[in-house]
Amino acid sequence: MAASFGAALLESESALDQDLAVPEAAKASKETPGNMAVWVLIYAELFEFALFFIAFLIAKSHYPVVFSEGPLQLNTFAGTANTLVLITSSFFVARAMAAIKSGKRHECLTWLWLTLAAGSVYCGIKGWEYSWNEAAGIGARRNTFFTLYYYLTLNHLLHVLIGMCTILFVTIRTHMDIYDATNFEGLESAALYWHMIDLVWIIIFPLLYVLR
Amino acid sequence: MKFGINRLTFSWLVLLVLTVAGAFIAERVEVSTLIVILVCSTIVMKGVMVIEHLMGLRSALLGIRWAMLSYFFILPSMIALSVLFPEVLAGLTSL
Repeated sequence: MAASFGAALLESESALDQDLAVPEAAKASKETPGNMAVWVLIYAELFEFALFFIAFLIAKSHYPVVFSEGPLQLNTFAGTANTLVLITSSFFVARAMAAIKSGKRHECLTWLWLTLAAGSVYCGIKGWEYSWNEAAGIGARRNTFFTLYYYLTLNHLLHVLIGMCTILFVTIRTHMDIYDATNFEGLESAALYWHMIDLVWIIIFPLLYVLR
Repeated sequence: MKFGINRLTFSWLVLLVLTVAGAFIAERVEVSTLIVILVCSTIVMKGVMVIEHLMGLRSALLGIRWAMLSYFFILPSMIALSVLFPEVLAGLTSL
């Protein structure tokens, strides 16, 4: 009898655990921003950049002198300014998300336009950096370091442009009153993509400009 | 003690400070083992701050959150190891 009571107790505890576990999992799922499609895209993009980083590290180990001298010739000011701008743009888009979740659509729009402005500043600085490089006689064919520098930064710039188009698209939709405090999945997905672009630059900056 | 700024703003300010510190290292400090570890640690810190606070993955599904966080633990570790032991990596990747 004691054994059957113990089994019944264990069974009821297990059922209680399941009752508690289901709402927790549901809560975590509800609090996960974006949808599965955007996460697949983000992981694919991060994987692509991870392969570039590994290729860069392997090349660096084979050509230590070229990769040691390369960062010294780069414009560190431009790299730093772009990092500050991208981090700030990530902050702007996070504020836009916080605003829409609170039902403050106009505030959200202000933060989204600021994000786009920051993206434009990033592109402007990158353009200036490339022209500065050209004036200093630095081109993509100079050596392996600069080939990879241009490949990585141009690829990242392309992602920034795609991210800006996405942010512009959700900004227009926000203007059209499509997003509100209960419906913001599209806006959230665009914001996540923008954060991913920032995350990639967080690795590119020390890899290209700082470590030599 | 209550700060006058919220978590988002605080994270943003910390990220700016870490970036400026990285730039200072790039311009003024000779790269050594300690500096490499320090720079790679700042990559981890910045990545974790963006993922947890700006992306808002703090209370997200564990799989999604840890996949993102592990990226920022694995890659900076690989960078540090490859900068500190380039000859080992060159040996492993030579035909």
